[in-house]
Amino acid sequence: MRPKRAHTILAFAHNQPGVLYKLLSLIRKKRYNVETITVGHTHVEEVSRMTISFSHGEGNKIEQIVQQIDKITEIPKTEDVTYANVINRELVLLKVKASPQDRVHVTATTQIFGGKVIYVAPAHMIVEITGKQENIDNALRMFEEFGIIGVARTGATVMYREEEDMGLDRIVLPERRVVSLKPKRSRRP
Amino acid sequence: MARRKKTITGAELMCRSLVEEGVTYLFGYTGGAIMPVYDAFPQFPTLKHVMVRHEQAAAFAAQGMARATGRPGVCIATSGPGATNLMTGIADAHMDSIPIIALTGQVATSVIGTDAFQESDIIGMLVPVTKQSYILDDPYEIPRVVKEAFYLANTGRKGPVNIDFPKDIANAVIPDDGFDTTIRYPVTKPPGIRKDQLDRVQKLMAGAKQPIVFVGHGVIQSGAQGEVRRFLERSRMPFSCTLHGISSLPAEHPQYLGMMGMHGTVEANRAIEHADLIIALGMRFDDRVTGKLDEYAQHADVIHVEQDPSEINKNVRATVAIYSDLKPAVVEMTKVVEPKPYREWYAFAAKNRKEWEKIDPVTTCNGKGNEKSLLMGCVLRKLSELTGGKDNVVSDVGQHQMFTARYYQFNRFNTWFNSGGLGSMGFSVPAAMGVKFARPGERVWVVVGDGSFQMNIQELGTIMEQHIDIKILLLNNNFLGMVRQWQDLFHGSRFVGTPVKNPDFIKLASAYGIAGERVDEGKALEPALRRAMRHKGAYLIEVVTDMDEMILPMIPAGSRFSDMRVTR
Repeated sequence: MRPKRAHTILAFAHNQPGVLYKLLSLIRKKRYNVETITVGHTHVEEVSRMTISFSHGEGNKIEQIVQQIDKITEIPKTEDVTYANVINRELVLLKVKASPQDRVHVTATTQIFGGKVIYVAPAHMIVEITGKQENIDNALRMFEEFGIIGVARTGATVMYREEEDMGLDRIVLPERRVVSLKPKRSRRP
Repeated sequence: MARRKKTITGAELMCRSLVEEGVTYLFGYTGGAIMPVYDAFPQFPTLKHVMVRHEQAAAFAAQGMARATGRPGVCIATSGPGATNLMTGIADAHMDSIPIIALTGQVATSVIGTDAFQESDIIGMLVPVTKQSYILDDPYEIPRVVKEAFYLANTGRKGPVNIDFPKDIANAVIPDDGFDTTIRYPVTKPPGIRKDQLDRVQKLMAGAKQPIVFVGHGVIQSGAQGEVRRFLERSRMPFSCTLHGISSLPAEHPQYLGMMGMHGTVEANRAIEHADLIIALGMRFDDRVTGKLDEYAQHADVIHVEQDPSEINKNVRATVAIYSDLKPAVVEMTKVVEPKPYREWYAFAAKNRKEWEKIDPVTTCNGKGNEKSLLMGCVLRKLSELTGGKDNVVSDVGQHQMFTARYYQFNRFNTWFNSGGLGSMGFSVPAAMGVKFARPGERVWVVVGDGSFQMNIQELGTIMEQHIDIKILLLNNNFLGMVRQWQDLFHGSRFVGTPVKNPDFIKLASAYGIAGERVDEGKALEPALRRAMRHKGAYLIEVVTDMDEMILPMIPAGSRFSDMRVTR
């Protein structure tokens, strides 16, 4: 049985080199083990969304980590969203053994979880399922009877159902276009 | 007439940006990758470069500057070994929240990542011990990065910032205009004390019979000593200082119980053990302050005022956690506090103080220890008497540090400098150089042990070259005293790796042109100290002290306050 994911942290970061390094260095210092981490762009240029989940955690220590992460200069906003009003989704690609007789069963199981078959080979299939982390854990258990050859999980990503505070008031993003209005100059010697 | 120069090099831009931030002294050591910056110094006469003899000393000297002025100190080193040598000093600044700017050279951007000569991934190494680190890969960014570095180092909870400066960027020639200096990461102001919190605080203070106020480093750093003093004098509550809180308020203050923690005074630690209310101002409940956490101040409610929210509830749970700047919060608390005499509570403290005074070796042993040499405690008390507790004192790390904290009566604001969090031996001599540059008109003492002195002893060269007038009080017991004490108490008196075979320190100083004398008799001490005070220029007094001396009382690491040892 996979360990239960105890805590999910949502952070917004200024997209600068080394931010992820700083974040992970801090988590390492606190001797925590990251279960999953996803990083991607947002609708605001230069700001990334990061979702980190931990496999275990006492409340106090998580609170400490959140506050420490919040101190990283390039990260204007961090919070523990484990109990917040968020949508939490993960995507999994699953390579399952499937003989011609089994195909229909694999397809049916995939549909139960609202997934899609995306590749079929003579002896196996690849299916794609998106859902809450618990649902994916569940799905994996259901597919075990066919025989799982490979699993690729993305890790959770979360989004507030309603308004989200991305901490944009705590960061001044460079107005890069302003520079280009001036005559072009050589940026390198 | 030649046309006005409209271009500027990266190195010149760096120097100009430093000048604009009000930098006067830089402590550093040159080398391959940082040479372009050094080459630009002559064009900026307000920048005074002090060449140290080892980069670690540059970082400590910058700290001395920062601690004495409250503004960021600057140290500068080349890439690779130069930068890594700075690390101890930077980590030390991080632990003690001292604003310093570490400017490090770096190999050219074209070869970064290829293990070029004297390349080190200094950002990678410094991330855990800096507030922020930059690598400049665009000369146009120099003014903004420097401005932001100074801003970040000195705003909110202070700390070190590293700027890594590749050589090709320093050599780049660019048009001298159109620099954007927007600060990208404005520091958020703490929200301050809330009304409901203030009500709760008022109730707790009104109900407290045995309160104690903790004065931490934050009081010095935020300059809230006046507000805190008014609060204390209005409430009449007793107070205790953390190691770094010392010298925020005069040691002679009648409500002062002395330092807290591992080597704190008996009256302060017993008061903490029995307190029903702790008001912690600008401190972080370090493990040397708390001992065993589970049983720390069990009867007390804790009101914790801090500007760094990550320190609140980290070690000790706060009953009221106030995320605020000190000044406004303390002012609000002063308005709602009712003065009470706390007679029994002060009587309890007085009883504990008397109990200690009866057994304190410094008062009872005629100044001599078991091995018939002078006691450090007595030497420090004599220094305190002679200077009236008004001089700047920079101490190193070890027994002498604790003796200074305990027996020197600091009566002037922010005159006590030492490495608390990281506890870096070798701190005192270079840090004192920084303090002296910051306060040229004041007397600066270095209190140092024979072990620590030799960890940055090469700085005698800098002292000689720059004519730095600091008075070095070397307490020589030919042992690493603090470790010896632990070996004595917890390791069956097996003195492994602690006896020190020392050189002739007086001859050594004289080789550097520094006057000095050795003191091994109690009656010779006072005249020697007076000679040092009168002497123009640096002076070394080596006092032969008792190797068997212990700094007591002591709460062994990870122990309860009730386990405090007051005798051997």
